[in-house]
Amino acid sequence: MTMNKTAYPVPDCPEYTGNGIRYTGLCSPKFRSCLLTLHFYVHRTPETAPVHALLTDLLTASSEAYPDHAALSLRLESLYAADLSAKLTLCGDDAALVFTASWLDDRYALDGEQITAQMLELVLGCLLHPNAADGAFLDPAFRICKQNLLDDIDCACNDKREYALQQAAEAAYSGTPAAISVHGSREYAERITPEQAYQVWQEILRTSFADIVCVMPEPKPEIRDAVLNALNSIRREPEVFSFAAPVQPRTEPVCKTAFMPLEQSKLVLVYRYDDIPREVLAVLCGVLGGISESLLFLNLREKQGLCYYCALQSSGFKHTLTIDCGIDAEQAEAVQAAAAEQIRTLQTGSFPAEMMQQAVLQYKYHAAAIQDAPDSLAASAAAMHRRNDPRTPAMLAEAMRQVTRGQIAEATKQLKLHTVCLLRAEDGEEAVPDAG
Amino acid sequence: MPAEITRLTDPCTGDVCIRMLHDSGLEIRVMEMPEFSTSYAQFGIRFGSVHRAFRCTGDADFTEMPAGIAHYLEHKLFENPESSISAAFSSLGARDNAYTDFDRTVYYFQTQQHFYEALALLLEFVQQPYFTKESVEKERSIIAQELRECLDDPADQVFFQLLGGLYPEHPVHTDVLGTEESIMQITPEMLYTCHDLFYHPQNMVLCCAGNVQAEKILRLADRLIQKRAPVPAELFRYPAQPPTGRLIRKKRMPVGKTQFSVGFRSRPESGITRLRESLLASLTAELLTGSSSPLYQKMLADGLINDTFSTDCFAGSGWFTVLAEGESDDPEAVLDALCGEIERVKHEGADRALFDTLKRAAYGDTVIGMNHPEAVCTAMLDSFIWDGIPPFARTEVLSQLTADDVRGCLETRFCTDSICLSVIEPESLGKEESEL
Repeated sequence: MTMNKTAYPVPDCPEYTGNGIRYTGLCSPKFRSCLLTLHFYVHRTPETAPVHALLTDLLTASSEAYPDHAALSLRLESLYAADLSAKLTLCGDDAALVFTASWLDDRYALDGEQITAQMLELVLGCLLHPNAADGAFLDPAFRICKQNLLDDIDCACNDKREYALQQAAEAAYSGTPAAISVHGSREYAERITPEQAYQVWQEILRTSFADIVCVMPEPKPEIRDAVLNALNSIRREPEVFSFAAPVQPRTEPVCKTAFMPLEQSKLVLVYRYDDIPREVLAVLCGVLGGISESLLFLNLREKQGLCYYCALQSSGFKHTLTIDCGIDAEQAEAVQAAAAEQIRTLQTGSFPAEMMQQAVLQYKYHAAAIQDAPDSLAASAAAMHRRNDPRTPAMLAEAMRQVTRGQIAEATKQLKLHTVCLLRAEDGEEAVPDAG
Repeated sequence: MPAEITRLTDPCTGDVCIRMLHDSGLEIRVMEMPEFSTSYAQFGIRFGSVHRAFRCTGDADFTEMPAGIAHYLEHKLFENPESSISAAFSSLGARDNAYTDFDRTVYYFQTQQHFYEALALLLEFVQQPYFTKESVEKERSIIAQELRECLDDPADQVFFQLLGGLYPEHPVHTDVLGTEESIMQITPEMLYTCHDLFYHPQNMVLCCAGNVQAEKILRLADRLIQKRAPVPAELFRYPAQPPTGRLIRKKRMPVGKTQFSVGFRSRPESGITRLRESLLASLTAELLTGSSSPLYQKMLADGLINDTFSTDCFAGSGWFTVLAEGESDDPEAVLDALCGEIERVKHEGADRALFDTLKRAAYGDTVIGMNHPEAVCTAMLDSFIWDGIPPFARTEVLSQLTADDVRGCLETRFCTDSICLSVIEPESLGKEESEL
C-alpha cells in the first residue's frame, strides 16, 4: 500500500484572499497538534526596529483578557501546554513579525474540551485586543517587556558566534536596514513609549502584508474563518513587499576587527554575487559548506586543523554567502586564504562529482523532513511565498539534480569577497576569585 | 533471532514500542511510524563523561581515565582506514552525527531513503574501532578548539561553575569534553580499553523510529551485532557528597547582564524512582516559580528577573539537582525569594488547582512531544539509559502524582543544606576598529 505522506500544497493551494492577506491550510492526519502562524511583514528603520522586537514580546505576554504574563501562561497551561510565541524574522531589508500558536488537537483532550476554539479566541484576543487603553500599552506589562528588550540588546554579546555574525552584517549592509540587528539599537529602544508602540502596532495591522499558514491534522474551516474575519474587520491599506535588496558591490572588501576577552576568535567572510539561480546556489552551498564532508569541512577542519566549526549560510535577498568559523586569531589570514582556495576549487570545477550528488541527496532529505514537523511546514510555506517561487522544496531538489559542474563553476566566479570581520580574542581581566 | 519480543502500548496515545532483546544482549527499541517521511536511528552506549574510573576483575586498584575520554572516543570512531564514514552516510542521503553526554554516547543518523543500508553502516562502524597514534594526535587540536568555544559560552560556564560547587568530588562537575590538559593524556591504547569495556551489546541500545519495520531491523542486527561477552569490570562508586551549605561562586566573562544558576542538590535516585522524583521536582519548581506562578510575576514586576528565567531538574546516575537560572542584577535576592517561597509553600501547602493545571500541561507536552520520529527515538533511548525503564513510563508516573506529593518533594529535593549559586558577572567588552 502506498501512503500519501505529503502535506505540502500544490503550488496554487495558497489562497490570496485580498486585502493584503494570504491564507494557506495544510493538513496531515499524522499530526496531533495544530499550528497557526501569522506573518506580518514590515519595513524597518532604526526607530521602528526595536519597537517591532518589543511587540513580539508584548503581544504574547498579556492581553486585555489576560493582563499579565502569569494569567496568560496559566490559561495556556490549562489548554494542555498550548503555546503562543512570536519572533522577528529578517527578510532582506524588511522583516516579519511571526506569531506562532500551537495546541493539542481536540481529540486528545482528556475531558472533551474544545481546545481549538479556545485557542483561536485567545490568539486573536492577544493580537486585536491587546493589553492597552487610550491608545497606549499598559504597565506593568509594557515596562517589563521593554526591560526584556533592553536586556536582550545588552546580551547580544553573550553568544560570540551570533555577535560576530551581527558585526559582519553591520559592516556588509552598512547604510541599509539589513544592518540593523534583530532587536535594534539600545538608543532607540530606550526611547520607546507605550503610545508609540501601540501606534506602530495599529499601523502594522493596517498596512502590513499578512501571510497566514495553518498546519492541522484534518480540515478545520473554523480556523480560516475566524482569522480572516478578524483581520478583514480592520480597514487595511496593505503595502507591497518584494524583499530582494542585493548588497551593493565593492571594489575592495571592508575589513573590520573587534576585540573581546575570548578563548576563541571568530572570523566571518561575506561574499557577494550578482545573480545565481536557486537550484545552482543550493548545490554550490552544499558542496562548499553544507554536506557533512564539504570542501570547507574537509580542508579547513580535517586536513589543515584550522577550526572546529566552519559554517556557511546564504541570503537570497541580499545576494550574499557568509562563511563563519571559530579560529585562533593568529590563523586568521591562513583561514581566509584556505577559504578562498576552496572557492577557486569550485571555480575550476575540480571537485568530485559525488559531492554534487550528496548535496542533492541532503537537500532531498531536508525537503522530506519538512513534511514531518508542523513548524517546518509552516515556515517553508511562508518562505516560498516570500521568494515568490512556487517550487516546493521537493521540486527544488528535483531541479538541483539537473545542475551541472559547469554551472557551479560559472556561478562561483560571481563570488567576490565583500566583507571580512574578525572578532579577536584579547586578554581578559583577572577572573573574580571564587567567593564560595 | 532474539529471545524476547514485547509490544508496549502507551495508554494515552495508543503508540506501540516494540522492545526486542537480541541474543547478543543488545536491546532494540522500535516505533513504526509509517505515515512519516523520515526515519531515525540512534545507537547508544551507557558510557559518558562520568564513567572514568573502573576496575576489571583481578585488578587490585581502580583505573582512572583522563577527563573527556568518552567524547574523544566518539570523535575517533568516525575514523576508518578505508573510507570516510560521513561520506558513506552522505552518499546514501543520510545525515549522521554523534554526541557525548554525562551518562551516554550516542551515534545517530536520519534519512528519507536507504534506511537499512545506513543502519548497517551505523552498526558496523560503532563496533569497529580503528585508532592510530597519528590520528589520535590530530584530533587534539580540533577538540581543543571545541573546548575553547565552550569556555566562551556563558551558559556552559555558569552551569559547570555550579556543578563544581555542588559536586566537587564527582566527575559530573567536569566538562564532557574534558580539559585542555586531560585530553593531552589520551592515547590510542586508552581508547581501545574503553571501547572493549563499554561498547559491548549488553551496555548498548539501538532505537529506531519513523518509516521503519522492526522485523527488518532485527534481521540486520542478527547479522551485524557482534556476540561477545562483556569484560567483567566494576565502575567506581563515588561516595555521597557532604553537605555544602550555601555556596556562592562567581567569575567574570564578556556578558551583557549578570547570569546566574541556582542548584538545590539532593540524594540521587535510580530507575523508575528517578523518573518519578524528577517529574515531581520539575512540577514543584514550576508551581513555585513557573511563568504562571505569583512569585514569577512578582519577580518580573520588581525587575528582579527577566523572561530568561526558567527551572529544570538535572538528574542522573549519581546526581540530582533542581535548577533555577536566568539573568538578574541581584541573583542573591532571587535566591532569597526562592527560599522564601519554598518555606511558604511548605507551611501553607501547594495550590492544588495550579498543580493540576501544570500536570495537564505536562500531559499535553508529552503527547505532542512524541509526535516526531526524532523525539520518539530520543525518548526510547533516554528511558534505556535511565536503568532500562519502559519507554512510556512517563505518562503513567505523571498520572499518579498529586498535590499532596509536593510537601515531601520540598523537604527532600529543595534542601537548604546544599545550595549553590553560580554567577557570571559582566566584564567590559573590547574596542572596535575598522579599515577600508
